[in-house]
Amino acid sequence: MEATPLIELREVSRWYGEVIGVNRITATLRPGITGLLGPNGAGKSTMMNLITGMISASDGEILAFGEPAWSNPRIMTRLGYCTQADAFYEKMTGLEFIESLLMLRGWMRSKANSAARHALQQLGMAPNMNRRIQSYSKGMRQRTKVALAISHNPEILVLDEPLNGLDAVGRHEMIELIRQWGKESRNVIISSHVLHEIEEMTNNILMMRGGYLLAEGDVKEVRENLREHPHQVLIRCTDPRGAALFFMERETTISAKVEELDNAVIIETRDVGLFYSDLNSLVLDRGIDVTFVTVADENITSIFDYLSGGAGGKN
Amino acid sequence: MEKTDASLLLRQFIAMTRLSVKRYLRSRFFWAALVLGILPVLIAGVIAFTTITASGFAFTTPLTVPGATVDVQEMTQGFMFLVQYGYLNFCVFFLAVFFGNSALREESDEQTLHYLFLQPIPRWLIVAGKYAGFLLLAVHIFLGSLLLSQLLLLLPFGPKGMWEALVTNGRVVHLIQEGMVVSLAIAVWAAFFLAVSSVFRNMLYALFIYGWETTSNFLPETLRNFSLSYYFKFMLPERSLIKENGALGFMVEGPGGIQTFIVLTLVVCLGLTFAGWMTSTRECTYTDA
Repeated sequence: MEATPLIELREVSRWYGEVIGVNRITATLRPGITGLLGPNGAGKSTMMNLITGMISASDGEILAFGEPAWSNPRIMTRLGYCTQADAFYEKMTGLEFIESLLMLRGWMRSKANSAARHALQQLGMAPNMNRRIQSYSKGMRQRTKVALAISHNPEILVLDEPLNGLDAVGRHEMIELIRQWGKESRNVIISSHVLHEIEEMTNNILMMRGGYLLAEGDVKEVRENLREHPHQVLIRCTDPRGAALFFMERETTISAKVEELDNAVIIETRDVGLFYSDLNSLVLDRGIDVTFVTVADENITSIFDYLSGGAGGKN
Repeated sequence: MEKTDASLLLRQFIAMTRLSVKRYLRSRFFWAALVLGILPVLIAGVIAFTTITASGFAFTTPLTVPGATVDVQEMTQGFMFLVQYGYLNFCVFFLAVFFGNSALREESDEQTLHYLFLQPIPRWLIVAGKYAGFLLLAVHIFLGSLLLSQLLLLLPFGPKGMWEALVTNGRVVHLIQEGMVVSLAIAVWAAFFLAVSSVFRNMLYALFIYGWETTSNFLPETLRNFSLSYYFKFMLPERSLIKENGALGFMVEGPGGIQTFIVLTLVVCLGLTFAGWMTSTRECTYTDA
C-alpha cells in the first residue's frame, strides 16, 4: 500500500516579477528523508517557502497534509521549518527565544520551557542556552534555529541548508542527528547544494536548477549519471610533465594539460575516485612531490549543467 | 472543520501580547514612546520652574509673579491646553504613526517575521497581540506622563495649593477623565495607523493627516466630523479656552455622545480588521529564491 504523500505539488509555479522562482513543478514528498539538491538560485528556498505557506504559488496547487499550504496556521502544528535567514530576537537568550515562540502555540510556560530545553540539549546548546543570542557564534545560531524547528516535535521537518555555518564536527553531528530522525520515522526535507552531504543522509532526492525539477528519485541513479561526467583536477607538483605522462597511462584519463608557469597540470578524468588512488601512486612510486590539489570544476553548477544539458532540464 | 478553541485563542493572544511587550521594551519603539511621553513633562517642568522662580519660591495660592497673579484655575487651563495640543494633537498622534509603521515592518526588516508566521496562530491574532502590547506600554507611559505633568504644573502652589486643586476642587476626577481620553486616543490612532501603514510604506502620509487634524479645527462642523481630534477634544471634561459666544464660537460645537461612540468604535474595528486581513495575505519573501 502506497504511503500517503505528505506534501503534494501540482504544476506549481512561482514568479518574482519576470524572474522564475520555480516553474511547473509536480512532485510528491513521501515519508522519510528527502534531499532537495540544487545550486544557488535553483529554487530550493522558494520551494520550501511554498511548502510551508510562507509564500503563495503564482500558479498550481500545493497541499500539505491534504490542506492548502498557503497562509495556513493549521499545518504549522505538524510542520517545523528552519530557514536560511540568520536573524533572531537578538537580545533574548536562546532558551527565552524558543520558549516565547512555543507559547504562541498556546502552550503553558512550563511545557514551552521544557520543550525548548530538550530541543537545545539535542542540538548541543545546553551550556549556552542562557546566553543572549547576539553573543552566539554562527554555528550556535544555526543550531538554535534547528532547535526551534524541532522543539514542538513536528511530523515534517523542513531544513533549508541546515549545515551552513557549522564546522566539520558540527556538520557531522547535524548529519548524524538528521539520520537519527530518519530512523525514528520522522519526515525530513533538507536542502543543500552539496551532493555528498545529502548522500550521507538519504537516498531519496529531488534535483532542481533554474526553477525546474531536473530529477527525482534514488541518489544512486543520479550518481550513475554523474559517472559519465568528467572531472578536472588541478595538481601543483615538482614535475608537471612527469605527472601528465603518468596519468595519461590511465584509461580513465581523458586529457592532461601542463601549465608550466604554474608548475601545474590539469587532469581531466572520468573517475575521480580512481584518480585519487593513482595520485597516491604518483607520490609514492614516482617520487613526484605534490604541493596542491584541487578539483577545478568542483561545484554543483557544473554537475547540473551537465545533467540539464544547458537550460530547460535533462529529464 | 475544527471548532475554534476560545481558550486556546486567548492563551495565544496573551502570549503574543507578552512577546510584543518584550520586543517593544528592547526596541527603538520604547525610546520613541519615552521621548514623546517625556516631552509634555519637560514643558510642564519648564513652566513650573519658571513660575516658582518668578514667584520667589512662594508656594502659595494665588501666586504673584512680575506683572500678574496666577491662580490654580489658570494653571489648570494651561494643563488642559497641554492635554489637547500636546498630548492628543501631537505626542499620541506621532507615537501611533510610529507604531503603525513599525509593528510588522520592523519584524520584516529584521527578518524575524517568519518566526511568527510559522506558529499555528491566526495572523489576525498576531496583529491583535502587537496592538495590545503597544497599548499596554503606551498607556502606562502616557498616564504616568499626564500625572507627572499635572503635578508639576501644580507644584508652584505648594502642597496646600495642590491638595486644594486636586481634592477640594475635584481636579483629580477630571484628571482621570483626561487619562481615559488620552488612552482612548492611543487606541484609536494606533488602530487607524496600523491599517494605513499596511498599505503605505512611506510615513509622509502622516504629515498630511496631521495637517488635516490641525486645520480641521477651523472648518465647518460637517468637515470636522472627519477629524478624530474633534471627537477626542469633546470628550475632555474641560474643553476649550475659546468662548462659546465669541467670534470663534463655532469651534466649540461638538459631536453627540452616540456619534462619538459609533465613529471611534468603527475606526478601531475597521482598522484592526483591515490590518489583520492585510497580514493574512502577506508573504515572507526576504529569503533568497
